[in-house]
Amino acid sequence: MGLATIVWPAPHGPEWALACDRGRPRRLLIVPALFDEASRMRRFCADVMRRLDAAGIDSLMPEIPGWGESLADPLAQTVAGWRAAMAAAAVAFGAGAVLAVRGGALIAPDLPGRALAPAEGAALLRPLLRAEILSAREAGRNDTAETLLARGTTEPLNLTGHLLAPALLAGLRTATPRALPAIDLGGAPLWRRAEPDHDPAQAEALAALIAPGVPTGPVPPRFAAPDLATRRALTIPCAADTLAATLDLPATPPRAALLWVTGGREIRAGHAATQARMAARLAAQGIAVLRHDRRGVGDSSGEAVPFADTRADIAAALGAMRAACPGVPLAAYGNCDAASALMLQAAALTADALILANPWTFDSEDAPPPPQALRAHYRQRFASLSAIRRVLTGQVNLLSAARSLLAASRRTPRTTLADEMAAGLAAFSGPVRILIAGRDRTGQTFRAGWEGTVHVHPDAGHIFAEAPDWWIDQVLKAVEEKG
Amino acid sequence: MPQSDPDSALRGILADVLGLPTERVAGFTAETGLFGDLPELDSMAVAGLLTEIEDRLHIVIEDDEIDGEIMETYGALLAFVTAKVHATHGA
Repeated sequence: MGLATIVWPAPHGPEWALACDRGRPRRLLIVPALFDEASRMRRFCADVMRRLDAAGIDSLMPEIPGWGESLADPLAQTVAGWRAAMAAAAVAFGAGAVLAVRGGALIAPDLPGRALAPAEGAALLRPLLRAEILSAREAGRNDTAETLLARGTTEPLNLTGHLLAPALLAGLRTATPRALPAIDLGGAPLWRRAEPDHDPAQAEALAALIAPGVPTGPVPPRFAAPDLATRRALTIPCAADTLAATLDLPATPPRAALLWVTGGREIRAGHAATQARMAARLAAQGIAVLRHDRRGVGDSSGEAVPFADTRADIAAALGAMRAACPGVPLAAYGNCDAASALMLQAAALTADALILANPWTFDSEDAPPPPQALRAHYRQRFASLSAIRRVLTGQVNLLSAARSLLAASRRTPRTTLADEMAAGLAAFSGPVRILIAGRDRTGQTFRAGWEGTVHVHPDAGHIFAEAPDWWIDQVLKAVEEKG
Repeated sequence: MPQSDPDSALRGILADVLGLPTERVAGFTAETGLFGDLPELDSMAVAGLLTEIEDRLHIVIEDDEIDGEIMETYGALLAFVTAKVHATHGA
């Protein structure tokens, strides 16, 4: 078979990996990138695995323990532990060579191979620290890299959702890549792209570079896959393609089922594995949760299409969830453009209830900025201490800021997309619950043009990372609502 | 030393980091809005953008130098980056 999610016996317990294993003698271990770079590079790596498959090479890409679909505790991880896990994966799979991607070079096992744009641990931490500083500043807190790193020596740091225990942070700050020959593909750096993306030309170039260096070696006996009763991998046919999906199950038969439609081109584990973690929490509350990569995203095959064209993907995933959990109410959840997709196709959905978070209403990429978003932006600016200081020291043109605020305060016109979403939702007969994050521009823009009931958490950001308990409570209420 | 002038380098970086078509980025003027106007540009994207600017233009941007003003328009970001490049590598 082609690409499949498998469970392998890691030293610390069952772990997940993406594998292409046809039992062939040329076998490659891929050590993926770390943190956000991992999700940005996921589709690219899966594509490289498919191309290596066509070249006669089997490959295994383990999840980094504590991240992605891994069920390990992120706070129990260390750089040395990661190295041990990757070395064990190489042995279990019988890899004769390694491809390390970006931060993967910090933890790659001692095998011949190459590293794609290897980076030092400190360089990987920098954008994480910076993103945390920026979002903290938007929330009115003043952190610096120094204060964060000092705090991180004694307590776990939460860097925009990534939980780093002191030992892991200390290890990363000094970690250097293993001395593997570095590859520079010369194209756009996909690990920096704001939204996970793909580049077939770079994937082809990388596969062609790697293939000759993968030696022929003995094929180890296939390891017995440990049983993970609470998290299972599913593959779902969708037209000519295959969707990769993860099903989180309660220990007892579920009382309700939830299809979690992922927004944008984010992978099903979600940013900083928040979706995987929240799905496990819902499962512990008796709710079965299915998360899938839509076509052309993450581990799924095919080409990515705009969110409005994801009908077939959502229908296929809903069908798979009905089959996995028959006889219980089935709700669909989407955040951002996934919420918009659910609204647009609500009439055709076989779900019993909908949960819509921060629906995306921006019509096109060239549309002017929505006034509501600008209002929130300027309110934030006026509220932040540093902005006030800049006003006092004359660094901000108060007149132009006030003029923008004035222009933004006029009534919000609804976009065509928002009208289509409202019309779509009107054709849905089941209960609908709309969740809005108070500190999210997308959510605020939707709220400005929506006349129905919404549930707002004032301090939450886009993915409700600041309010997980509130979010769980809202979802539990929604899945039990009767139409 | 930077490979190209700050303007074309910055346009290339914005296209690469935000995944925007090069034609769209080529049409950016000094007044084109960035943070607050481009839905793609959130805090995570800003962090990636600044780090890529540092790497490609061989400059260091201190976190306390970054404020809403710099990210407001393309012109403001270009002025900031150009000043940094000149301060680091000479005019």
